Amino acid sequence: MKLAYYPGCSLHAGAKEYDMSWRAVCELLGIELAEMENWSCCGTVHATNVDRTVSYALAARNVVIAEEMGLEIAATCSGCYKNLRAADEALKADAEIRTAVNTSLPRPFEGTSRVRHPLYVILEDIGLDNLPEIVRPLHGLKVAPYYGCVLTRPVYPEQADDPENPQGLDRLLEALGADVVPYYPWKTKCCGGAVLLSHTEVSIELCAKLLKHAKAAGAQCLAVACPMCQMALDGYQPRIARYLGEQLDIPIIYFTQLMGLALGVDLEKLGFEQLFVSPEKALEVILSRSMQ
Amino acid sequence: MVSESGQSTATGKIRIGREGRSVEPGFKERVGEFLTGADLNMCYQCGTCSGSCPTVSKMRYGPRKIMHMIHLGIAEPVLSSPDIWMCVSCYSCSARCPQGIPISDVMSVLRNISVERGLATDEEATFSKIFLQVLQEHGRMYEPEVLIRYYASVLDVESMAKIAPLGIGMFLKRKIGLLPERIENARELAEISAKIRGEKE
Repeated sequence: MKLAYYPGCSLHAGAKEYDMSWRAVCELLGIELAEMENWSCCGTVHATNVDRTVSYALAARNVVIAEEMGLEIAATCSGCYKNLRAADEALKADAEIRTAVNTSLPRPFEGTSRVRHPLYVILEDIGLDNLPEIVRPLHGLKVAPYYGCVLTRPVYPEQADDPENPQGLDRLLEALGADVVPYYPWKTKCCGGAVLLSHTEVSIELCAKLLKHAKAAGAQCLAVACPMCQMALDGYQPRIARYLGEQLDIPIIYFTQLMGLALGVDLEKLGFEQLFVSPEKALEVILSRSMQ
Repeated sequence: MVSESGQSTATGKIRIGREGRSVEPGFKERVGEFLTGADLNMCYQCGTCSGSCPTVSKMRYGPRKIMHMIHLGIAEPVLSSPDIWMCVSCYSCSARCPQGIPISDVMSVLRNISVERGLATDEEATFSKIFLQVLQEHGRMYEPEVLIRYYASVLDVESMAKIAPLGIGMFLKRKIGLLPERIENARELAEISAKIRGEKE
């Protein structure tokens, strides 16, 4: 299968390890990724704050590139996924918005593509029964599956997973051999990434709840599918720990990194050293076993 | 009973707003304009939205009261409230609303109108405007530029100092480039935006 790849700004910068590990996993699964030429920033929640129609147009500009490639889009960042999908769904459903947006675009939106998130591409198009051999099973690794907010919301008619208690990431991690700890209802609570830079204290408070409950559930790490969540929970973890007044030391690992690890991808292709909170201790049990 | 936004006067009539605020006819319709398939009239004030909101404790009214204020046309207090900027767009309220109202989108429409009318003074409004400018200049995001321009415009040295260690860490891990990434036809984005805004006027 072939997909139009929309990495989004984060995967070219702060979330390089997500890009590396997703590409490595795709290679193994036989998914061909064609990075869209001249893709532009999706606008995230910030463009939506200023002008929703402009935000739809900026997102639709990218959907049009995929339409011309004749491919479905894989948007790795949940924020980009949400923005591109919201535009795609709105323009498909509402002729008025579509006309307004199309008069601004150099090439019009046709509505022939579809916006997907990699997690659900793997679950729906590859399937857990068709995964390659699990070379390094994640046995003994206690993982909290963290979906964040916009991977499963807003809810669309064609909905892949439950908006409040989704199961996709849980099932994938189980298939890789991990011990998935119960993380409902926290698994879909928001990290506050939308206001991380303007109201940092709000985001820190929300992240503190997420990490406190993950720790209470016995998690050694969090598996994530969004670079905004990852940055808030990993990059800001020293400040979150200070806010809570307790030691945290919980690595925040992209699900594609864990998947690559389990499927035997070269460690240097997975970028674990790029994470701020080192996952070394948590992953020790898996790596020492695979060396034997 | 007298609502928070209404007050009895000496003559026994209900005056809208504690500070004599007036109602804006058509405000509900203006908010509803951009919400495909949504009917704001369906709200029956159950409060599921406020009960689901992760930041309601930081708000003055919370989404339930805001929905009611929209119905009453109490525009300015809503548009100048910190509430609309405290919303983290997590869509919990939208997913749970028993009446199918996309409340997260309602909040975002309110932010748009607040910006349009010059009522948006929140830091997030400043950040969002700078973000959109940088996006249109390069076609892609360049965080150091957004942050420097943002902190300079809100004159927040303390936050800048707090974020510095993370910035240095990101730089050392090569998570920040020395220069912004640019797309070939970055001008296209400003043109798209100008066409849409021109159309609105």
